[in-house]
Amino acid sequence: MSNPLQTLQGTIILGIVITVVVDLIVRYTF
Amino acid sequence: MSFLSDPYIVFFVRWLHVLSGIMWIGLLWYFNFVQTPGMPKIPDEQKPAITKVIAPSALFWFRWSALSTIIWGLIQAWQLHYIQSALTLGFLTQSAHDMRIGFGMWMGLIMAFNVWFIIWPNQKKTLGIVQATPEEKARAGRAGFLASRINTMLSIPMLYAMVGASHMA
Repeated sequence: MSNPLQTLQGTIILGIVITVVVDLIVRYTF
Repeated sequence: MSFLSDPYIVFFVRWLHVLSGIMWIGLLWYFNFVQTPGMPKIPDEQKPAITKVIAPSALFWFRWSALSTIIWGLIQAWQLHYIQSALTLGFLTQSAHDMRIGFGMWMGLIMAFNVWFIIWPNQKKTLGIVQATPEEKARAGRAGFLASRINTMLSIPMLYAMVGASHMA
């Protein structure tokens, strides 16, 4: 599999995935 | 101390932080969305217009606005008394706000580190500002490209966390 950061689409999708993960961590930690 | 915690001064520091941040991330997106994808479409004899004129100027404003954003942001977090709590992701104070802004701060700090210690030293080689062999230039181009892409990826959750900390319902 090629590096997703190679393309802008892959970069944006990874960015959105990290956003969702961070949001869920903040929502459910405290 | 009372001067620094004056509500207008707190606002003014926030304005400087956002102003610098817009310039920084605007230029980051210019590199990733416009310049880098556009380079292969430019005829070789016209490429120096970018590599010798546009890119060095854009990189100048890029790295100094990155530093300015970080400095004003850290001053703001200190003024508002959450710098320690945010940098420890809210665990010291059990604060969701501080965890959210803390995630944004760490992403911003990683991005600024990438700008100054990975992107800029490598760009100096690819643009010919410092001497490098063709192999070194190719390796520098690859490293700078990936660090810039990582910053573009991080800019998405960074902004979500930064704005969300104060404005999420």
